[in-house]
Amino acid sequence: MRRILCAALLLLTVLPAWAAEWRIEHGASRLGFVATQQGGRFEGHFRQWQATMRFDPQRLDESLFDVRIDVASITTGSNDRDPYLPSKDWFFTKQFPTATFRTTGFSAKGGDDYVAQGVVTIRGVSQTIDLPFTWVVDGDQAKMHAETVLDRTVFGVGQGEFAATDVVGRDVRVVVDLTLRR
Amino acid sequence: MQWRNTAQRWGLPAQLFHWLIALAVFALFVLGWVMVSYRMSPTKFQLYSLHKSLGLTVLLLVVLRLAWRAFNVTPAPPTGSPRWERRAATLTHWLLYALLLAMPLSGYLINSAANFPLVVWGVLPLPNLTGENEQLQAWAEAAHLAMFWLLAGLIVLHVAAALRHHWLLKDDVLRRMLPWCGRGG
Repeated sequence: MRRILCAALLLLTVLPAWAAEWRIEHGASRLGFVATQQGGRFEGHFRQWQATMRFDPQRLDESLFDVRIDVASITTGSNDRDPYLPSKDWFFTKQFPTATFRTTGFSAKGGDDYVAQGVVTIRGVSQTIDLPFTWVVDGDQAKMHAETVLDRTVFGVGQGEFAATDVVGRDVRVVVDLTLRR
Repeated sequence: MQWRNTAQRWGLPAQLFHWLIALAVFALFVLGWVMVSYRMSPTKFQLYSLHKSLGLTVLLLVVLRLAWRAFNVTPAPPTGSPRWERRAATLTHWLLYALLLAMPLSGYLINSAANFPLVVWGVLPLPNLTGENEQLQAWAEAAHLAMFWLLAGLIVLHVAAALRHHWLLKDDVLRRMLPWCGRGG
């Protein structure tokens, strides 16, 4: 009996140890972006999104970010702009309600800096991207900050005349600030 | 070339201010009506931008114009006009100035409350006066439209009065605002 217990305990230590799963504190987290309109910047964010966040610097192989965004929850704080964003010309949320980001791998860049390789899918178009981020752990809490630039025209966000980038800029800087707890 | 105003005649800067602003205001009226009814498209955005840049330029021109006016004599009203006419003229002129200031300011307020970025003529970024505010935006839009009608009405009155002076009363009230008409008319 004792031998079996020992064997069981031993087995536990060699079982694949999953990277820690983190819970997002949505009240203190923001999935935002900065875009431009006629040379002027404006900010926006998504109100509704969920993510599975498994991350451990010691176990990058088992780490995973799996983010699902309710695109219709986009807001840029403007009644003159926001009503158009879910429309066919922009995000076409009726047909493409969800945007996703799912990592395929991670690499450490030293200190708190990492890069997540992953696939972002918006409006049904997928693109492989590198997402540089910092991950700072303080006890049971972690803070993540990530920024990258997406080309909105790759995803067809802005159809027809709006595909031209003179009025609405091509680059959209995605800015992610998360507070997580394990 | 006469630069400063005299008791009889507006100087060239005052004349330029008058006609540049008149031209800009006319363009603003046309742009304003076209842009609101234009279909949603990049062109619509560009029409709005043009309207905003031109409107804020008028704001600057009016401020400079009032400063110039303050440091110059103002040509006297024609002798022989009844008192009420002179009062009506003075009131109309100051209402026009007030509206020429209030129109761009209310437009700037609409843009601010709509939380739109504003880069004047594509080069000068202006900060918004307020954050997004739906109620304020609706209020500023109503004011902008009401003031448009008041301004349009006053301009009709102003033009009619100038033509009356020129054609009926045959004085030089209109001529002294025209750059190419000789001294003393």
